[in-house]
Amino acid sequence: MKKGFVSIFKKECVRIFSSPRLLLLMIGIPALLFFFYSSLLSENVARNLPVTLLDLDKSSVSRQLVRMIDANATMDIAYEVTDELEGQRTVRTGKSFALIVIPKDFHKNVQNGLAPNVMCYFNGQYLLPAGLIQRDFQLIAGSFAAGAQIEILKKKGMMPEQTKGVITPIGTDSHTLFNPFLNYGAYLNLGFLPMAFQIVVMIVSIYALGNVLKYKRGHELLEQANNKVFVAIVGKLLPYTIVFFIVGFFMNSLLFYKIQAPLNGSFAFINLITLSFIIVCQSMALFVTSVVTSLRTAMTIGGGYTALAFSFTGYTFPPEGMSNFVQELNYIFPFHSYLRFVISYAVRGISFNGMQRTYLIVLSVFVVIGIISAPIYYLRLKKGGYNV
Amino acid sequence: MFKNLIAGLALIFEGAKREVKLIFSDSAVITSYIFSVLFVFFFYSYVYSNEVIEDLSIVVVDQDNSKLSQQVGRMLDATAQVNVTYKTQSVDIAQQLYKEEKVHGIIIIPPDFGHDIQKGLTPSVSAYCDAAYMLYYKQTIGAVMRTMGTINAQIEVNKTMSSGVPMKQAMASRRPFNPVPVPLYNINSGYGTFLLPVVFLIALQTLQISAMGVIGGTLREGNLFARTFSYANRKYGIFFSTIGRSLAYLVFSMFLMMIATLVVTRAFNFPLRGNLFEIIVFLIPFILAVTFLGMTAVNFFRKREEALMIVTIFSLPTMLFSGASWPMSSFPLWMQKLSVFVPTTLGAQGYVSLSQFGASLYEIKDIFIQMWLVCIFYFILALWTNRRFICKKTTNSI
Repeated sequence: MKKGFVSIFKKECVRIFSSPRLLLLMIGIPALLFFFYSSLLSENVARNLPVTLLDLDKSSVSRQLVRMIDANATMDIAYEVTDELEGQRTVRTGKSFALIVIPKDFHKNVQNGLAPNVMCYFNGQYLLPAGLIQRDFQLIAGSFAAGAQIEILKKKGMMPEQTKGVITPIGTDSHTLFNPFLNYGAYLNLGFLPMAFQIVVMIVSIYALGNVLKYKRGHELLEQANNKVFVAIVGKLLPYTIVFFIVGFFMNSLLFYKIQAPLNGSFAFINLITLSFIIVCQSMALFVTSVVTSLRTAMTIGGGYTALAFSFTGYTFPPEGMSNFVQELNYIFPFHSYLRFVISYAVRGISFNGMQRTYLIVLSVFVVIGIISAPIYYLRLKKGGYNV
Repeated sequence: MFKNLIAGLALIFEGAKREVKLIFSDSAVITSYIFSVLFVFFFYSYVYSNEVIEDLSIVVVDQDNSKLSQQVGRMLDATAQVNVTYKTQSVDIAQQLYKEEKVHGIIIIPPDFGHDIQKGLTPSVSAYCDAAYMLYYKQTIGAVMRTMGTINAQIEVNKTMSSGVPMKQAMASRRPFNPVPVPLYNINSGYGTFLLPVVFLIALQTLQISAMGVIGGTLREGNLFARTFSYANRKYGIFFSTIGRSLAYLVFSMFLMMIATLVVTRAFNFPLRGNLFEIIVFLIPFILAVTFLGMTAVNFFRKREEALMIVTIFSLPTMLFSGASWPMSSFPLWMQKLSVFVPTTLGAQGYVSLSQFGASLYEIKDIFIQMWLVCIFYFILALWTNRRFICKKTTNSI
């Protein structure tokens, strides 16, 4: 039998490329998930959300307001009802996101200057549609009011330029940094794609390291590595690192060029970070495989550990909203540091700051944990496998 | 005929009894199915129990330092959403603070702000909001919009009053009508209230299927499948035993869902509306659909580890399918159709409608009927799967 690093490396490569299941798991499933996420979010901005309209006035003025609501990109009047109970039902059953009620005598009261209330009952449960509908409803009301005001002021003898200063004394210039069109597709994909990726990296690495122990081939491997545990580990993991790096490179290209996530840093450096992250995940895989006593426990822990990670990145719900304990807990998940580093570096274009240094230190701690657990793995290999 | 029925009932009972034994004889199954589910329920509730972010740090660059510009700063600080942590006159300092991630938004008030307002010009307040994280953006822009709306109204009413109009009339002439947005169900836009009902169902589905996959994978790995279920190998036996086995999961999962609905939501003060009985009735087809999907999934798991691998990977995609993070009406059409085949999609819609919106089961009857159809679809697949594994092996061994 050939010995040494190259022979382990070669053997593992053969194993990967002769096992369709492993290939499916390493390349097929990430590709499938990348495709899934990017096509699910391909609309990028939520448009035409169904809303219900109850127009109790049916006058020319109320219809004008209705036309403005319907012309709005966010809302689409999917249901027009004739009584409030029916309208409430459409919201309650989740068919519609909001019920807009234009009251009786709306036209008359507007003309008399009584400022009637136009109600918009929106479903607060779904946060994204709720936010969009609330914002656009107020924008519509604002522009409707401004239109009416300008007419009145012009009739009083003001010039059109003068009216602006009366209606909005202070303007607001809103600058949406790093995601100017509030593109949810790019935003969510930036989190979801690497999330799926890291689960696969972790699970496959545990599988590669743990399979030796499950089938009690520890002695064989050690012999092949001339009793050097690092040769065994690196030889076994390096083929996976290479394949994952290719998948990761594909993922980054997809994110920053196809999905058009904002890219304000160097693409090459992002890939370097992805490569380091793969190594971090593999270090943790080594740690998990070494400390537990069976492959399936290692899988459960590794899978759970990575599957929970998304909530702890503070990506969709920032850490500022979590208790202090959870804020600290976030760092236990390497994905937290990775994602936040990428957002900070690639999206915001910050070359280096204190937070980034923290993330890098945290990531290197995980590698150290991996290195420390190598001797434990060595003991396990020497025994031959789990449960020997 | 009558005898067959009795035999069938006995087989259902036998199937349920043996499945319970199978569940309890493997510690990995109990850990995944019972303890992990409970852990996820409580842990996620704890993580999101703060519900909203308050007082996000921002910096105000006040280049005017007039009475009005300072009022803008104070009013921003007074909003629940943001907290003016730094005040400066230099844009460079503000940028530096931003780059160090000490603030998440920059508000710039231009020079001569106060004067320009007096002159009737329209100066603009610039808000730089960080959309790299959507919630930072929402918090900042929300606070700015609200503050500017209030200040604008004040100035406008003051101006109208100064031309001799009484205050009440000045207020009324400002807007032809009042837009009144009223949030329903989740009135504070709480993140926990939003996410957890869906998380309950996703966690149950993910972990129950992986537990069932572990059982199935173990039996397949040891070639024990046919022997374990040999009692079912008779006329209509597969049919009755499949029902019996699913009843075991129905009882456990319903128990877990009741803990989620009754204990977890109360413990963390999440809202709960609707009729408990109707929620239970709705959950029956959901849990059965998950169970039959789990039985079908055994086709793909040749080893017990594979179940754990595959199922965790798919937990987040199913979350997305439920339409919580991204509205279903914005899915591509083929994905809308495809999503129905994941039990949590309809399950989450129905469960949220019943328990959060207070809808009655009759009102969501179309979801309920579709849920049963999905359940029947997977029941047929489960029958086929069980038949495949149980009958094939027996004929081989003879």
